[in-house]
Amino acid sequence: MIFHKKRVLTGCLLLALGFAVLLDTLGGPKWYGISEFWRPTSKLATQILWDVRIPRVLAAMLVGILLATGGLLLQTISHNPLADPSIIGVNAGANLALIAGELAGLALTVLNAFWLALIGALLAFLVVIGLSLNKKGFSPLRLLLGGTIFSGFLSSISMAVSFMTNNTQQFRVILAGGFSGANYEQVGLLVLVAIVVVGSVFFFRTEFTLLGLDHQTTVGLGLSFKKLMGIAIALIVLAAGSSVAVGGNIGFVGVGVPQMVNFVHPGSFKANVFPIALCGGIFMLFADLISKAAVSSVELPLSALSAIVGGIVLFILVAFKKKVVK
Amino acid sequence: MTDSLAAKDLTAGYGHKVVIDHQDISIAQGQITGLIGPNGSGKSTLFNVLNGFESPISGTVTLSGKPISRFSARQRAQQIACLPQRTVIPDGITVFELVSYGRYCRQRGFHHLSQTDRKAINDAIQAVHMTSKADELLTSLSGGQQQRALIAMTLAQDSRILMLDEPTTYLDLTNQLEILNLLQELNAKFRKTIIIVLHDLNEAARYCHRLVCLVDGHVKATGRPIDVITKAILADVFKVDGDILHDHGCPQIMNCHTLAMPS
Amino acid sequence: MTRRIRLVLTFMILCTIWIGLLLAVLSFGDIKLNVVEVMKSLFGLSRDFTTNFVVWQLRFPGLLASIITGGELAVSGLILQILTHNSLADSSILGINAGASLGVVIAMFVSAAVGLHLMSSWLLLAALIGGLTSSGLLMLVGRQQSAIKILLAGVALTAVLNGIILMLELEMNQFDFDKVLVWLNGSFWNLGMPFLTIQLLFGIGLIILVILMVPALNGLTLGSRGAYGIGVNVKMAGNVLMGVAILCATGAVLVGGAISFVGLMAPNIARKLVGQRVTYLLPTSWLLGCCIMMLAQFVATNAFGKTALPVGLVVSAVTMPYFIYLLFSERVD
Repeated sequence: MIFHKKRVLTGCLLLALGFAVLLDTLGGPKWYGISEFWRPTSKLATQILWDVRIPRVLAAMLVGILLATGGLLLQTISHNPLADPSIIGVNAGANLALIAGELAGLALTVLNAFWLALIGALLAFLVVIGLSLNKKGFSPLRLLLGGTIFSGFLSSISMAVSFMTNNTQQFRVILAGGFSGANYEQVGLLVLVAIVVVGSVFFFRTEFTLLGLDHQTTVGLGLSFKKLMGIAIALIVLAAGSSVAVGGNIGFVGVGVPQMVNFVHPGSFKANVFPIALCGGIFMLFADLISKAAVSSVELPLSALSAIVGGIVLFILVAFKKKVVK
Repeated sequence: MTDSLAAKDLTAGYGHKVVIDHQDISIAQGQITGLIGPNGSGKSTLFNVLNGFESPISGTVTLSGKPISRFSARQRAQQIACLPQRTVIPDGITVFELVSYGRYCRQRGFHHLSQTDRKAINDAIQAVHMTSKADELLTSLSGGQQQRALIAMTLAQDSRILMLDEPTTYLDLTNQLEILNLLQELNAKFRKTIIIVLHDLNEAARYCHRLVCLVDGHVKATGRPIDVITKAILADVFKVDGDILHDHGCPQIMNCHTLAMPS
Repeated sequence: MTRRIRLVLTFMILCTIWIGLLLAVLSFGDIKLNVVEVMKSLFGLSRDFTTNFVVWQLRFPGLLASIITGGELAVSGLILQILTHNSLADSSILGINAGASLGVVIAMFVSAAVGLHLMSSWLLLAALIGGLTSSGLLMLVGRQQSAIKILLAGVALTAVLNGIILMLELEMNQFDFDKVLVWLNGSFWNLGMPFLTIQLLFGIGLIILVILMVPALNGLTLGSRGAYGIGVNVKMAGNVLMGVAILCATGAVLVGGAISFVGLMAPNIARKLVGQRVTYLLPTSWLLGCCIMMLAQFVATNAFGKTALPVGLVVSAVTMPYFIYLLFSERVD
């Protein structure tokens, strides 16, 4: 009975995702009709559709999926519903690495940017993990505290560096976030990452669910705690780092989407991870659409949009729904 | 036996969920009353409503005849001291300092510890037999000792009534008995009215003068342990069966087993 | 006895650091002053015109601003952490700082668009309205709710407000953007003495109020049910304390812009030093808050030659090492 319900839910979400993809592709400063695909009105239109819009849409969808999944995973392993990759230092690390790379004169090709962001993210995260381990094992509170502080620290350095090198213009761009420059190379890399992340999450879904219990229970159930933690961390860093490399500084999706889904439909990691991933994609697509199309001839900053929309929804949920989420 | 704490036509619960349904309850003065019942019977709700932490949906709770809502927080604390189920233990605090918090309701202005306060604190620490540990940090003590320190804090309030919500549930056996014996002692020496929520029926039967048995939001039985712990109650309320032995007038359950489920 | 001695020693060391930093901020800078002369000048005993001028006209306002901001943020953070039973709470996580900042950014944006130059008193008002609005929204969640809900609501609120701020920021031209960025990162943008004096009196008033409520705060460290048990009027005390925390944070933002971390760090560090008894924790947090700000002020003005960095940037840089040290030493235990 429950199995059936899950299938229906997932089916609906997949349909919604498909719809969102279509909408985001067709929408923008200029809206196209769906017939564009098989009866193009002009060569320019086809070019825009295939070279500009579709990669952008795919990038947005994949980043949304990655951020939401990574966020849920982080919340599960840190036992704290407030955990978002952006407050654990991952985003800040990736940002700083990108700024540093640019200052060092590195050409920011797609591949370079990817690697830089990943390295930055990983280094930052490792520092934070190191800070949060204590004798008794992994301490979620210290993770968040250390992550928040370290994150702020890195952001301050980024900002200071921008100030001192008179580079605040560049800083603005990174701050704004967005997918306007997305190309197929980036999409390709994102697809790879998504396969790895989503695949691993699927493979290890039971284990990750059990990681959400306290340490002793997890070990008592026969799980290799260190190995799983390592895998989870690698996946989170991979997901968040690649998202920053392509989309810039997009926060809040990692904490907002899982929370919203859990409020409406509470469940374990295993039960909710795919709906959350799909919702992440849908959310990002709509945010991207709004940033493109809401105000004519101006592109609204995506990071701001996702924060505003996501924040309002979450706030309403928290304020008015009776059930508490743990 | 005059009533010190009583509830009339009490209905209580959360939001739309009614947990206690139109019940009359009275707590006898100077005795140890145990609240027993299966999970979900409304024990904790009753506890919270009786001490005024939660407001009932309808009905009144009175303390010495006056509705409890009419007491200010301080006045109420001077009459009723209560210890919730899992009190947070702050760190970096000694036993003496924790117990001094209990004097809050008796102090005015800058809450400087007066002679009376100090005496009350020291007496309370002595009553729980922790004088040698008075300057130790709470976090360095065992679970039982921490619980005793918390009880000392409630004693320092100098109230007539002491309410404890499952004080023994997370303690080991030695500590459990330690606490229960202590409560008996306090009742005998200081005539304190004690209301205690307990899970263990044998403990409840042995240490309480009266029992109030709750099930599904209403009072199934009240009275002496020997009158409440009967085969009928065991079957009806707790869905168990066993042999009830009478040890000096105190019922103890042996060979407890669940009843076969009706097919 | 050893514990008592340890506490007294800690306190004395902190006071010494406090005084040391005070003297450092006043003595160092573009013009280096003799420390002894500075001390004399503070007591009105100096005849040296340069010293007196530099100390009182140039540097004292900045010092006063640091003390006000640091102290108020620390106290606000402490209260919020006790009320929400969560050591991650502070006024910036709860969205209060963001609200005040948004007020100011909107005012700046509007004035730039209209071409008006705003008087600082209007910006003040904007900050106050912003701060109160966001805290009002937070109150909607209700204080009876669990701590985690309040924090979640704060996170959501901060995200929304920061998002709006970002949008407005990016709409501005580069020049204004830089100005706002500086402000948002914490800087003492108004060092006029009348302004600071009002803030000082306001701050002192609030702190006196908190001191009066220390016994209630002590009770609240037992959890809300434990506090109720000993006779604290949890609802009323909670509301008053929340109000004080909000006013403290707003006051700090008015003086120092959007500085985060002090409210988070100072009480946490203080707790590790002196434990959770509010009677010791309050003054320790206050001292630490001031020290952090003064140190940041010192570094911001002196470390990079002619460029003065926004003090808020320095705050996080300054708090990081000590925090890492604390976390590491706890690990080894």
